[in-house]
Amino acid sequence: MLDYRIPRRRILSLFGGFILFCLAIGYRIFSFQVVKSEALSEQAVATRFQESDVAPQRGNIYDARGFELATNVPADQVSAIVNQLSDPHQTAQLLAPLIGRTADDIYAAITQPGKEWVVLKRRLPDDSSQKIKDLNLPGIELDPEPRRIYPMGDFASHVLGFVNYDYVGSYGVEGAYDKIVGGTPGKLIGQRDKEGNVIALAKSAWDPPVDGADLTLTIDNSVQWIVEKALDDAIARQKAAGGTIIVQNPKTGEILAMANRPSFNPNNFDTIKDAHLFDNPAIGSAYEPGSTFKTLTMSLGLEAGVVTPNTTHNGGPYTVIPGGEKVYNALDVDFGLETMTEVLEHSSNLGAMWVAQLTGEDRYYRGLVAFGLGNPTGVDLQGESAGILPLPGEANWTSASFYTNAFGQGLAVTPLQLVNAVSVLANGGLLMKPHVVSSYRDKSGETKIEPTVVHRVLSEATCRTITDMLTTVMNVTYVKYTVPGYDIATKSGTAQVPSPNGGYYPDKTIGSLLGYGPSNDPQFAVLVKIDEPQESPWGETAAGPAYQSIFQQLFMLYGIPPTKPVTATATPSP
Amino acid sequence: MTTTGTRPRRSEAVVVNEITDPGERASQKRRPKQYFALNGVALVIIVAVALTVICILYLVQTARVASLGYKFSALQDDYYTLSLENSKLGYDVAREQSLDTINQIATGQLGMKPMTDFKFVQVQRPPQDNLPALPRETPPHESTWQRITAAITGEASASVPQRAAKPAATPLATPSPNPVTPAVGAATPAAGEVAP
Repeated sequence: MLDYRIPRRRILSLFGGFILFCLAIGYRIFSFQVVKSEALSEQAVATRFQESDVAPQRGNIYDARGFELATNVPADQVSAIVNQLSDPHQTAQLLAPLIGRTADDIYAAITQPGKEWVVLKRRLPDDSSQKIKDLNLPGIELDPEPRRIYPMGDFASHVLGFVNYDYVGSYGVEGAYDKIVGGTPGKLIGQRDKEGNVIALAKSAWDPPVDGADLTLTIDNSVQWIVEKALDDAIARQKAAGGTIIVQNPKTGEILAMANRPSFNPNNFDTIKDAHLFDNPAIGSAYEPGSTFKTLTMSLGLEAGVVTPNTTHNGGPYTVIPGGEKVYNALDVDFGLETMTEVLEHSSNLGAMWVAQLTGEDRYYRGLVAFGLGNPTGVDLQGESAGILPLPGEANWTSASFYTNAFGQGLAVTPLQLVNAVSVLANGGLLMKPHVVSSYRDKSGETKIEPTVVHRVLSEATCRTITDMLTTVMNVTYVKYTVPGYDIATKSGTAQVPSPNGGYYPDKTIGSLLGYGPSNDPQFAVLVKIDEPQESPWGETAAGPAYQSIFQQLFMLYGIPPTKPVTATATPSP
Repeated sequence: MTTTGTRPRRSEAVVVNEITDPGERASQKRRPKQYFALNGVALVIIVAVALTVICILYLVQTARVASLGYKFSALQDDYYTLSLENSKLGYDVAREQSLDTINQIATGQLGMKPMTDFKFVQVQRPPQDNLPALPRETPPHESTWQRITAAITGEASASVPQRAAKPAATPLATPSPNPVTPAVGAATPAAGEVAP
């Protein structure tokens, strides 16, 4: 047996090495656990626990009858993980026809230096999405994201607005009620795997999102459909540039329909080149209302007690207003002696000026302001204009303005302001705040938006008188456009279009009919406004057929019995 | 107390331990009987086994949690997929219900035409006495046996309710208080409804 003993020196060396190793390890442990403890813990937590925003579900939008006008559907977003692409050139070639971008464009996007991940297209159509899945291209990913969709296309598009790429509401009720319908994003701080997916049942902090409320509009899709069809027909018939129709419930201020042409399809908002198309002309485009404004002038004269329906006036061929300018009636007609009802029947400019003069500047302008002119109506839509109402003493007001304002020139109103003002006559003198949302429902329940009375403008007696006068106007002057069996209070307007160079365009008009019915118990206030009609410049001819058709269908739709029905006797069947 | 030089075994302990002090005897009585002695090795083994069991249980639990986590994620995915499908179906329903679609089907496929000519007629309602009597609803016949069974089991049988008068369609707008009633032809068709 060999007597071999390990040299003591070697043992000491090994021991020394072991001690050094232990010291090194100890140092690292001390370094990690004590010196860098805080920083490393934070880094570890940051790697494992990541905070992310959780998008809420955007609420749906329904019409007054419960039909869905806006909802959410999933749509894929296609993106490229640059370092996983096997052949960028071929990938670009294959994707180009499916995502509507050129191959060169895609190639440039996926070969950008310093980019690891590129979004190539958002909100793909279903068929394109499926085709890209079938291609199974390496490095190309499809991720679902919500897409706002409007099942009825361009139906009521100016009322609805749209939701942009950031899922934020723009224009219409989408914009005005974005905070309510859009909800509140939540936060999730959770442990994640190396792919970034949250590990279920692992430790996490969860601040859930609050889903958006469902909106119910006052817009009745049946009325809106009637109105849009009537507007399209009128524009086609008149070869007009556009138009606007509003139907309002004068007793509540609810907007039952609001249509404009031209309009847009909110599903394809990204294809619209001219952003002005998104503006709602019914609330945002002020225009000179022309003779429809005489209804307000006359009602203020009646309220002031300076005229009655039978008061007579002889305006002669013209009137010279301050500044020396002569004002004529349309077509320079001299109506001679006429009653106030005939002033409205003839749409006499000189008669309206005379009524305003009798009313007096102060009372007249106070009255117009009380009608809500010169201020936004407060409708719950984005982009409302205040219109232009120059008041005495202001820079853009002259003493001549007082006279031209009387027949609807020298001021500008939005279509909604005009309808809302004439609703005062239909509602016994009370000005209502117009609105398009009747209620919204979230997790806490339903919130109803009640009708709001702004203030009283006229007495009930004045309203009855002006209604009778306007009903006579309809039955005498616009008899061609009456609805058999019903009385409707109506006034037409043929407004000239101001030129930016001063004065008015010689060949451009805005034809409109404004009124409410049935006269004995008004349920609807309607404005039909046709822009630049080519076949007939006159309001009654341009807007009359649409106006008649709308009232006829409204009465049928809502089952409103006629005041002058044909009498018959029913025989019950056995 | 008398002790031996070596650690006594259990059988010996009874013999050699003689307790003379009455106080110690009393405390000895309170001490539980020691059936086996734990030496160091046994203690280590027990602790090791206990730790192993705890670790295994922990692993089993972790595996179970992970498995449930995957199941939970899969269910969440299913829920998400079904929600998306539901949204798509809702969208399809809304498209089919749109008045444009209905109008196209009515005029294009069914050959209907928009109702343009209509007349409201005031109808004088005849006195109630002249109206023919409504047919009486007879209750369903029940045999004696059925009645006894019902009484024993406490089961009630549903009977056909009295036919109530169908309420008139409520228009969205406040109806006019106009006394002209009823108006034949003043039905409330949905907009876009067409008549042949």
